[in-house]
Amino acid sequence: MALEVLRYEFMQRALVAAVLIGLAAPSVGIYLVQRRLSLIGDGLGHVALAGVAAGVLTSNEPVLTALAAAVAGAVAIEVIRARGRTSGDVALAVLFYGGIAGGVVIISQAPGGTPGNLNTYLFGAITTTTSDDLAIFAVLTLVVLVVTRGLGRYLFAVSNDEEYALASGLPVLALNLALAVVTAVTVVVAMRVVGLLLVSALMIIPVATAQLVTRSFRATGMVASALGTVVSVLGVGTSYYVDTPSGGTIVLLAIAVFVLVAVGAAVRERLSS
Amino acid sequence: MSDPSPAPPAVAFEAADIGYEGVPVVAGLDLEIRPGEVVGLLGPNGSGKSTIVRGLLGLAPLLGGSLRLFGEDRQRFRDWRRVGYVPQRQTVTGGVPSTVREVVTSGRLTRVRPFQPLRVADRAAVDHAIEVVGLADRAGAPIATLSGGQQRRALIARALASEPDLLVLDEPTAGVDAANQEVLADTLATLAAAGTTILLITHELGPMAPVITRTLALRAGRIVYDGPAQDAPDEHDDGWHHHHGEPPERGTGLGLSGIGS
Repeated sequence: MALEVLRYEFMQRALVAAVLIGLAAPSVGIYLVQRRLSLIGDGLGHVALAGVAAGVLTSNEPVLTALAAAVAGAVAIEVIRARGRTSGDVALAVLFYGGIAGGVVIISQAPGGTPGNLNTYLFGAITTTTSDDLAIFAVLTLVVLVVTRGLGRYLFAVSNDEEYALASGLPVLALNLALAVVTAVTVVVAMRVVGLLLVSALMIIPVATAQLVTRSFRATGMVASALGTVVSVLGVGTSYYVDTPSGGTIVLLAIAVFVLVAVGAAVRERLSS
Repeated sequence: MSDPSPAPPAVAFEAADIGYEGVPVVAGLDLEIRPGEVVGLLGPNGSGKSTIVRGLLGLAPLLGGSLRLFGEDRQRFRDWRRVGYVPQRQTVTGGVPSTVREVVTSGRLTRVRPFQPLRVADRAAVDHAIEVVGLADRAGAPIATLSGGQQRRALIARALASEPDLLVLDEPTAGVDAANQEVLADTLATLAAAGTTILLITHELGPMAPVITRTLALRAGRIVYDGPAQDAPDEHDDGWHHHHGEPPERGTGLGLSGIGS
C-alpha cells in the first residue's frame, strides 16, 4: 500500500511538501500561541491569497507572488502593532479581508479565471506541488527553522513578556518583524498541500496538543513539530486513498489527535488525583 | 567596577518630566542614586512611583530634563545588562507551558549571542539566580504551577540572571504571603551585601525595612521626603492608601493633581 503511494511522482512531491510544512508550521505556531496571536497565520493566509491571484493574472509563479504579499502583510501587521493604537485590531481586519477580497476579484480578471480556481490554494491538494515549488519550499523551511531555532530564546523572551524584553534592551521590533516574516514564509510553504485557509490550524493545533502533555517550552516545540509532521504525511496519504482535499484531511487528523490526547490527559488527571 | 575614578551615580534624574502622550505624571524630578544604595520608593497609588521606574527603564518617555544611567545619557545608554527589572505585572505565564529555568534564562539574553548555544557561564548564572531566590528545587517545574509569591521570586531570578549592578523592583511584595515576603527580604539583603544597587517601589516597607538604606516618599509626582527609613511618613498618615493588587498608576492620570501647583 505504502509503496503504491510512492510510485507516483506527484505523491512523492506532496509527501515531501507535507514533511516540510509539518516541521515548519508548529515551529512558528508555538510563538503565536505563546503571545496569544493564534489567528495571525489565518490573516496572513488571506493576504497571501491576493498574491496568488496576482501571480495567476500576470503569469508569474504564484508561490513567489504569494510570498511577496504575505511578507508585506506581515511587516504591515508589525508596524500597526508597534504603534499600539486601539484601532490596530480594525486595521488588521481591513488588511485581512482586503487580501481575500482582492484575491477573488483579481483572479476573476485572469484569462479563464474564476474564484473556483482558488480552491486548491485555499484548501490544499496533493496533485499541485511542482518540483520548482519543492525547491522553494525547502529553502523557505530552512529559513523558518534556522530563525525559530537560532533566535528561539529571544523569540520566547519577547513572546513571553514584551515589556520586560524592551526594558532589558532586546531589539523587540526586529524580533517581532522576524517572527512575522517567518510566519508569512510558513503560510507560503503551506499553500500547496495544506491550503491558505487551513495553514493556521497546522500552526496552532499541534502546539495545543503537545502542551497537554509537556512541561517545558522546549519540549512543547519538539513534540508539536513531530505531531505536525506525522499528521501532514498521514493526511496526504489519506487524501490519496479517500480522494479528499489534503488540507482538510490533515487538519481533521490533527484535531482528532488533539481530542484523543485531551481525553487521555483528562483521564490520567482523574486517575492520579 | 575596575574604574579607578569615583563611580558615577547609578541613576541621576535632573529636572526630569516623565509621562505619557506628552502629559507629565512626574514633573521636575531630581534624584540621584549612588552605587550600593538600597532605596525604598514609597507613595500612594497614582503618586508616580511606577512612572519613575518606567522612565528609568525607557518604557515611558522623558518629556523634559535628563537622565543618566551609570554616567551615560539614557539616549546613548546601551548597557542594559547592568539593569535588572522586576515588573509588578504578573506576566510570567504565556499560552505555552514554560519552566522556571526557561523564564529565568530570558533574563540572561543581554549577555548571550544569537544562533549560539548557551555557554557554561550562562547556565551557571541562570542556576545561581534561581538558587539565590530559593527556587532551585523548582527550576524544572512549569512556572504556572508555582504560587504567586514563588512566581514573583522567579521574576527576580530572571532580573538577576544578567548579573545586574542595579536592580529595580516594582511592588515585589504586593499580593505575596508573609513567608514569601521574608524570602524576598533575605534575597535583597544578600544582594545588597554583595554591592548591588537596589531601587524598590512599595506601599510599605514591611520585612524589607532593615535592608533599606534610604527612603523616598512620593506624593502627586513629587518627592516629599528623602532620608532614613525610620523617619518616613507613615502610610496611614494623611490619607495614604493601602490597597494591594491594584494596577499600576500608568495612564490613570491620578498623579496629575499636584502638578503645576
